[in-house]
Amino acid sequence: MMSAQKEPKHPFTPRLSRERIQETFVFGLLRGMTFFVLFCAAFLFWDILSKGAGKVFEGEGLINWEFLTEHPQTLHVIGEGEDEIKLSSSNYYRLKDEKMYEKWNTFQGTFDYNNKRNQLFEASKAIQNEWADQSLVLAEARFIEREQRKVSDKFSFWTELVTNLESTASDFEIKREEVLPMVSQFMLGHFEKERGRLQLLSDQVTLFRAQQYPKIENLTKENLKQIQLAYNQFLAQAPQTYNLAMREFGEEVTITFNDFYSKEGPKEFGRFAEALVAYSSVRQAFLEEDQNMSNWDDLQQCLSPFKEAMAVALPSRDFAYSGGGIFPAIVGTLLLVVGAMAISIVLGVFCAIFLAEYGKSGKFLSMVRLAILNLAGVPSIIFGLFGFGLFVIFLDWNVSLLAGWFTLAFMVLPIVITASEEALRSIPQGFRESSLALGATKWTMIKTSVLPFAMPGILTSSILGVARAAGETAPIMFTAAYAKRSELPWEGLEHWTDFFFQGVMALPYHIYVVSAKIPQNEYTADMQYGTAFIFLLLVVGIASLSIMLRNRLRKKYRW
Amino acid sequence: MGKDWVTNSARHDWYGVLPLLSGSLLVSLIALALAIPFGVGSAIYVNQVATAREQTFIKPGIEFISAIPSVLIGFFGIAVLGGMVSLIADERLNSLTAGFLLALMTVPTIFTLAEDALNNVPRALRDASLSLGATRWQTCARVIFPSAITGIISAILLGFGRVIGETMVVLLCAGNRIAIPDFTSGLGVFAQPVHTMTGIIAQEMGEVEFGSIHYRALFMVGIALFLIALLVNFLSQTIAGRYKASY
Repeated sequence: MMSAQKEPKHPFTPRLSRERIQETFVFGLLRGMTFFVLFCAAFLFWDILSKGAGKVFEGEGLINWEFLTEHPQTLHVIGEGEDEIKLSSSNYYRLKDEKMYEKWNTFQGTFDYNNKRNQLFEASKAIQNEWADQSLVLAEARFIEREQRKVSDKFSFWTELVTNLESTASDFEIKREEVLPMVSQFMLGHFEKERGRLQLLSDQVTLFRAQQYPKIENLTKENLKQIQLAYNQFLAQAPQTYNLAMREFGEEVTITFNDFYSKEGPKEFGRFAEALVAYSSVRQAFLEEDQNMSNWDDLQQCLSPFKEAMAVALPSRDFAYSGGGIFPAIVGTLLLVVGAMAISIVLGVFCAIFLAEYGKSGKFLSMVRLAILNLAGVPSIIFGLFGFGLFVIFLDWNVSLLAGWFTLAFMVLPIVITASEEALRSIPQGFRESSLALGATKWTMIKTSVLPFAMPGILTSSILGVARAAGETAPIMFTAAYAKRSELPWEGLEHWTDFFFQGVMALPYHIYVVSAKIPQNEYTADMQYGTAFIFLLLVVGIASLSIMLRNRLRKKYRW
Repeated sequence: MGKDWVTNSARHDWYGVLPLLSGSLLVSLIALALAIPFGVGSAIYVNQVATAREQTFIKPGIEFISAIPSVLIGFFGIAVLGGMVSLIADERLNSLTAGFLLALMTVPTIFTLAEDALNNVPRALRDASLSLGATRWQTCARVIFPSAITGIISAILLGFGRVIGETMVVLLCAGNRIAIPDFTSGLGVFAQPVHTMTGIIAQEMGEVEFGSIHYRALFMVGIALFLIALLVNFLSQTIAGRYKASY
């Protein structure tokens, strides 16, 4: 290139001509533009790096491991202004636990504790025996009797309304033909109430109502009788459900009680109290008030001081997602990249072998080349749309890793094919000829004397294309990415094939979600920059690694 | 080519691509208006003026921009550039914000291809011009640039293809208001929030009911986009082919 010539300066230097001045001006302008572009890029880079580093390197250790290894968390902000403390969910609950144990220990030290504990144990022993007792069999019969009495009261009232249409009409001041619809409305309302009262049976009541609905609509005296009969039958079955639930919840009470008895910790107590509440709600519906309820009241009284000791108030303002935590997203991105790379390299290499070794130049081949060339210019969102239509919907893979892999693979395929073909063509012709001369078939020749030498070049060039796949958001938006998922990809699999048919979180999509889909506030920026920082490092890391690898291999394989 | 895109309305949904197409074109116009001078200018600078030392960092530097994922550039737009744009416009996120960022993303494409084209101009042409006494700028403007013009145009077309197909930046930064820009407002037209073809697909595809008219309308938008991309590709290849033939 030409470098600016320095002309010697002396008093008789001629004035610069207009053209020279113009030239200096224009070149200066061009130079300014070039450096402006570089400056913009550098500013973007610096902005993300500097602010993101604040999040990633904050806290006690050198690196904020929690940010990298946790699931997305809610941020809890305690206090305001100067004394404000920001805690992510895991830390917040840890602190809450600490405070709870502290309070519990003080409570345990008091005289009251032993006293109350003994009362609690005694009172709850009776409850524990209740569900295993024969009294439940008795309760079943009483339950049926009680409920059927209530039902027959209701039905006799309705029957009366239906039989004496004239007097009902005058009583309610309505027309005669409006009586039957009114009664059916009453019935529907009654079932609605029953659904609320008989909690455990609510589904069955709904089903019953739906089955009887035609009869309720065309209400006659005969129909009413049939409905009553059916309802009585239905109620006769009901206690079994309650009985089962009592045993189940009762067992839970015993287990949690024993746990509490042996450890006497606040958490064990919490579980015990929870089991008691569940048990009591079933019990109330099943057993009448007169059946040894006195124990229950005692129990409630004994529980309250323990509950007080457990309750720790730690008022905080909560901001979803702002606590950071991007581990599932990192894992998801890596999985997507590796899978897409594998698929695209297999497909791409076979395609390139065909193009470079087998394809005879002609109309067909030039069309294939044109298609590949055009594929490279198709917007990434179109690939997403294509993947959504083909893999997610037509092949019914749903939003899954597999669908994301194939979508991304198709997107980088042009790059991989071009790179592979170039690598194959750079193998000297002599390699092929010598192999063929020894009597090898064409495929053997490719397998033994072309592919092994071309493979390093293929791999490294392809990785460069795949680095692009790591940064893309649009293709995975509706083929593979979930906004939030509580399990990691290897957790909760029923069968090993499920691994491929699950959606994952991905860093680029996560950045989109946290910067556009969640409510923004003063605490979100930190986490956003931290995520962006990690993502940038990841993408730049993959890209520069592959460039380094390529340069090294290029030097190694030369002939 | 309806004028409205209204979904989830109580009465009647409209699926007209015009607001989206005009939004896409407006954003592309802004982006290209910035990216062409910067991309071509820096290509000329690097190819003709820069010293060898400058070249070693300018070229990789600009090419490195294309390695930055688009969602990060969009995020930067929301976090930083939006605030700067709001100094001169009413809203933080509008076609200007998206245009600036898209320009930054397109510069590497245009720069790389234009630089290639300039590089391919035979050296003899330049030497002949300089030996006739022309200044270097005159040589650039009247000899080298015209000879490379086809390559540069094909570079610009590819840049346009990249801009119109870009999704994340416009989805995050263009403001997402579905309306045909108000062209009567003079220069203010460049600072209105718009929605784009790529943006609408990305935004609504995930929530749409399979097989509904809305679903098909979105696929139709996708097909239109695909055809535009193919046309741009085809044009740039034809032009580049002619360029190759001329030397």
